[in-house]
Amino acid sequence: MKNIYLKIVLVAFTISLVGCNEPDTEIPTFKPVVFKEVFDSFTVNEDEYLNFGDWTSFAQTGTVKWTEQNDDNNGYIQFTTFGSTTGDVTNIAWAISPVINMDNSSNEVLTFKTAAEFITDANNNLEVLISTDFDGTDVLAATWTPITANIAGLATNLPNGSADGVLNVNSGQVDLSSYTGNIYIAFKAKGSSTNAALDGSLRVDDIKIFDKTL
Amino acid sequence: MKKLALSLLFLFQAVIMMAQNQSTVKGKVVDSKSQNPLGSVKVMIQSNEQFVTTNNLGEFLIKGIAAGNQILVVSIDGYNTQNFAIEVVADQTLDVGMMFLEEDITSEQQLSLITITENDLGDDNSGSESTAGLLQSSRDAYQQAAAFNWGQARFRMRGLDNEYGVTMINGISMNKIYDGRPQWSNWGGLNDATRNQEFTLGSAPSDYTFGGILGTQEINTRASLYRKGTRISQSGTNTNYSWRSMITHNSGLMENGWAYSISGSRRWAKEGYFEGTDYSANSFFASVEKRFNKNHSLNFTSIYAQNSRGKNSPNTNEVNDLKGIKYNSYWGYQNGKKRNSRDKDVEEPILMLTHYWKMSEKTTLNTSVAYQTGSIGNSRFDYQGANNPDPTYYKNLPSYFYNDPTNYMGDGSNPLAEKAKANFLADGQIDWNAIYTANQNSVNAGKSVYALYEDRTDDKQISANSILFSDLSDNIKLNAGASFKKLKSHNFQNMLDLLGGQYFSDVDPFYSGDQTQSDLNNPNRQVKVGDQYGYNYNLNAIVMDAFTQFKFSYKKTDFYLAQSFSRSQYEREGLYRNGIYANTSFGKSGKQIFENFGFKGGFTYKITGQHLLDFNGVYMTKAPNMRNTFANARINNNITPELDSETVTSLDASYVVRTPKFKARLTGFASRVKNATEISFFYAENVGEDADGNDEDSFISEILTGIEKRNFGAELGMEYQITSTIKATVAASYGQYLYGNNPNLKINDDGQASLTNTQPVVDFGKANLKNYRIAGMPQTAASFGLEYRDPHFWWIGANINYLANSYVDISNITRTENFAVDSDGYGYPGATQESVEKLLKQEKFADFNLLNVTGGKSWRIDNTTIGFFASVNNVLDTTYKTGGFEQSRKATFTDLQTDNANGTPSFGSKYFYGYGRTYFVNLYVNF
Repeated sequence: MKNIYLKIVLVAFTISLVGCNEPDTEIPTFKPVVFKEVFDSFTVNEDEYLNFGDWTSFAQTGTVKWTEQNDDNNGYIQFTTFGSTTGDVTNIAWAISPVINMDNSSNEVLTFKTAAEFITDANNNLEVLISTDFDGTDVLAATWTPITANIAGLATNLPNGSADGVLNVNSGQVDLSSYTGNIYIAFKAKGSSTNAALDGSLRVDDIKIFDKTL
Repeated sequence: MKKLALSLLFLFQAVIMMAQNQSTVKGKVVDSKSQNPLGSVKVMIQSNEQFVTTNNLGEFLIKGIAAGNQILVVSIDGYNTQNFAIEVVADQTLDVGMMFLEEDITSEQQLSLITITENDLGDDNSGSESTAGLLQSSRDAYQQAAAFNWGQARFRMRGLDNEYGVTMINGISMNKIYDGRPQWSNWGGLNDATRNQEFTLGSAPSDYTFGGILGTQEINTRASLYRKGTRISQSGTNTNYSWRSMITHNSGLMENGWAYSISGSRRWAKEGYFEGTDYSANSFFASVEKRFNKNHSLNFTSIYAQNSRGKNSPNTNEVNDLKGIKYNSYWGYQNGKKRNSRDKDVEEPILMLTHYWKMSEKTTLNTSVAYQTGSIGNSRFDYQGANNPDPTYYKNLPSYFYNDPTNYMGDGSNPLAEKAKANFLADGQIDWNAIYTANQNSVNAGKSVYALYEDRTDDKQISANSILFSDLSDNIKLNAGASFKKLKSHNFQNMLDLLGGQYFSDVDPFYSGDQTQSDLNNPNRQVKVGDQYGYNYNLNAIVMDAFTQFKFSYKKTDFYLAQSFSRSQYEREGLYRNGIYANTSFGKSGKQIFENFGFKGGFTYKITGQHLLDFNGVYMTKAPNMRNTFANARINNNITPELDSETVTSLDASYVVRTPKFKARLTGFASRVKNATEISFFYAENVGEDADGNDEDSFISEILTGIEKRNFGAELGMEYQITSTIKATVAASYGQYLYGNNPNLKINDDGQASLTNTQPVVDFGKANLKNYRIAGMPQTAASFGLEYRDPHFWWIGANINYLANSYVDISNITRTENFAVDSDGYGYPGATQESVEKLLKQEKFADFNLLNVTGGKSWRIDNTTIGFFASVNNVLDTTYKTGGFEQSRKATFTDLQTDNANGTPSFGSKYFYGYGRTYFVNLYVNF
């Protein structure tokens, strides 16, 4: 009889001690993104030239660069030559993402939002390109491959503008699954400081690369 | 279920009585030194815990003892407990003659303990309150270590909060209905007067109450129980106070049937251990008893303990690294004097009348009625249209500048941060002069932009209870009790000081229109000193409970069964019509009623008289505290969503050895609390959302429901008398106290409230808390002590302690999906399994060792004892954290990641530290 009780005590005691390995905590489940940039309204500085995080801002022709914008608590970036007094006949400016590593993910797709305002000429346009050999500084020495996506332009022009910060063109999913290693996404805009037909606005926001199967 | 509880309540009334041999033991207890008889000594038969107390001549007589070998345990506070082996012959009277008790000079140690329990940090932060207060008069080696050696490190037995224990004075529960915890300072400083205590651990049976799963403490203030004499003591220490004076006089039971006990003490410090913590406490106690005859006695007790102290701030690592661990941000110089902005004032006197009725030789009924009234106030700043006066406000600290990349110069220097650092190092305290100047220069002449107010709670509580103790037969004892409590708790903001201005405006400038008003029935008030403002409401409660308990004792086995039933009724009554909740703040909330029951039982198997096995188990439900019943009691009548009673279960099993030289107890325990609710308030960023997916900042109340906590572990206590003068003790506790599930988290966001949205509750889903450690105490503790008692009335002891596995209190909201998932449904940039895990890993505090040394000596001159006691705690001056909590302000991955990027977060965890090397010296005279 007493042995039974003693055993119960010993078993209870053993359970107490054996159970004492460090149990794991769990984190909430979420769909991780490979890259995301929403140009947070708390971080961008209205009308300043783009100097956001590790973004590269480069004026290939002329001196007008991409700017940071914030309308109705939505931050985004914009290229326009409207009101420019630089006298550049042609303006070409690049906004290039920080380096994005594609090695730890699969089935990647790229999505982003764009908008075009006051565009009257197809030469006042936006291109989206990818490079795998950009060194982070010399934009023109790198190989840039244009991607196919829905990009705002003459066809989607907002003739009366959009003051509330809404970007109306969704890119659709651009398949990037063939890429590995480091890539850069570039937004290359063209306009003119002297030709009023080429001084519309081009906007970019909500750039995201993620695994479409998650 | 309720009916079942009730029927079980009466089931055991029909137990058949049994007859047994009747033997009697008598004797006399005297002081070994003076040979004076000792009254009020407890003389107990160990096998069945039957006991009597000695009369004024030291004599006792115990009837109805079973024949055979028995052990008599003779004990009284202040003396070493003695065990006498006796042989009882059937139907005969055994006269054991004179029994000598030796004074226990180490009992002085109890007086040094109070410095820990009074420092109740519990009300200021994450509930870090040691259980040491419960254990004051315990004799068990483990419990003594828990109280005296580990209490300073906020050790909590079995990892349980004090709300799971019951602290009683004369059978009346002193646990507050509001939060379930006893307010120790209600009788602080009255150590002499509260020395008569009985303690039970875990769910083991108490004669006075059904109890909780932590234990019970019964403080008895019956005047005739105090040993006759006068005691004067003077203490000096460097903990929360510097000096304590105490005087106590007990009459003992006089010829005319009267007895009285009076005690008074004062404790004070200009500055305690931490900077700017002033302390002032005055306590008075009086108890008068009249014995009308053998069967009836009335006792009146009054306790008045007034306590006022300056609090100390929890600080981030950044602040402590710059200013040291004694730094306190709550004070500043005013006219050359240190003034603390956060004072706690407690003044809640207790009046109590107790009737002791010996109904028969076998049955006693004790009935008490108590009334407690008074106030608790916690002061702090209020300000409008002015900067936060807190010197550690994040914009004042170097980290704020380090964390902004635009502040770095080309050479990598950060002059703004350097300047903030220099400023903080040079001053870093509250600038009272600037506050007065700001009020004098107010845009609206006379209107204070800064004011000092207190959060006040004025309680009035009537309590009554009756407890029946009856020997149903030689083997069966019945305890039964019923209690009633009625509380009216008035809560409001009370204006203390306009700091040079004429008035303060009672509006909330963060809102607009009607929403700015704290009371639409009386808008735009100008608040003067002594006015109520801000919030104003009553919490009314009626709590009733009843229990029965049957204890059976036989030669080989003792067992018990107990059951309880309780009914708790809470109601909020808004006295203001708050502008944010115009239709749901004024008037009554409607009654919230909880009916709860509990069953428990256990048994002791006596392998031999010296080796026992002991088991206890309990299953009970527990009403939520009033604090957690109302989601945002300050401003509306809303009931906490999904509010429910807790389900509490606990089991323990022990092996006990008690030989004359060696005493040991080994216990394994497991407890589980399910369905608990917790409400907390804080300012958070990125928990709401605006139109474009950008999150907003707001002051919110966080409601966590369905919490499960699992506590299990083992306790060991051993005491070995190596020689007649040297004793060794070992104590250890290993526990694992965890969250057992992922409870639901909701946020009440006043910013989203409107006339049509009176319950602005946002559901954040599950908080992933499972397997996070419950914070607030070391989960591992061990102690080894040696004590030498010289026959010439001096003694010295030392113990070394190891404390480990203490964890930071985690922020719940950062464990929800909201933390990692952005408004687009995808994770925040950079959020990966690894990076999120790294940020959410619970901080474990460093292990530490504490060495304590105690000693004392006493002299006897005629009938006067002069004694001296001294202790040095934490001799090695070890720096250690006793607790800390994550700030919830950075509630998303991106924000928290950014805040931590430079290693100097602006919203890092805040910590409390234990005392470094401290001393306690006590001189006393007994006559």
